Amino acid sequence: MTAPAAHQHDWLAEHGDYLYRYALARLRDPHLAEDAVQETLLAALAGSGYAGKASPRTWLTGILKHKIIDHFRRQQRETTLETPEDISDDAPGMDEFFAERGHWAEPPQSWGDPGSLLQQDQFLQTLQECMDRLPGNLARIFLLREVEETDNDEICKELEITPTNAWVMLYRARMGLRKCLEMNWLGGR
Amino acid sequence: MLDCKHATQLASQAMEKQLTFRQQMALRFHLLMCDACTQFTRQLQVLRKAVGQLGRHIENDERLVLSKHARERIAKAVAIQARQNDEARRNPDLDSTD
Ligand SMILES: [Zn+2]
Repeated sequence: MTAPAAHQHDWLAEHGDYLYRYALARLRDPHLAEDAVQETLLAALAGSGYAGKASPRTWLTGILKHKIIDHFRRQQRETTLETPEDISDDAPGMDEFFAERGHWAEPPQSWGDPGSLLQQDQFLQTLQECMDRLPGNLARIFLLREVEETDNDEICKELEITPTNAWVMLYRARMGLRKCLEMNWLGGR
Repeated sequence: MLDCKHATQLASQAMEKQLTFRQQMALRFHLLMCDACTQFTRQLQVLRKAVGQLGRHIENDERLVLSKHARERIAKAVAIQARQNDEARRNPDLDSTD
């Protein structure tokens, strides 16, 4: 039973940059993305191997996706330890946005035509800066939701958080982002 | 009567899941009368599209590549792992103690 040595595809050369960009789109940190690529290639070597069912790239991307979610989960655990999330029906800590009796402190402004917004580099760049400024746990769950298009049940399962916790965090992420955009993009226009 | 704070919470939840009929009605009624929250719900849609688009920009930006340093580091780690695999394959009994 001499299993032939697994053919050593040069996955790093063929798919390294693709995997790096995939990771970067979700982790938004070059060093984390590099680490995720390394973990992925090591896991690919260590596992039972490429079975040839999907294309190697699809298979590697599947491994990478798990590595990214593992990273999110670890980060989530750490932040939960630091700040036990307040679980309540109401989203707490939103007083900066609302005045008494639930009225807007600063009502949202019109952003104009959404179609042309998405063509504006300045808008997208400010959005990126605003995302970088979000607390890490909010940015992560928001990216998982909106870039990975993970549904809510999946997010709760993967990050080991409650549905209430998930929606409160997504709500906070959205509130923070839109306020940041109004201050830095709309205000600076 | 829903206030803006709760209306925004419902609007955000509606991005995740189907609201109950009662919640939908309450939100719709609030939006009819409230321009600020109507803008807010539009902004949520823009945020979703824009964040997805940013992600795709990064994925498709071929200028973004592994740095030379990272590539070398990863290549080294992969080589070490591959060698260990080969050795384990050649000496399957290496780990057994008896
Ligand atoms: Zn309102």
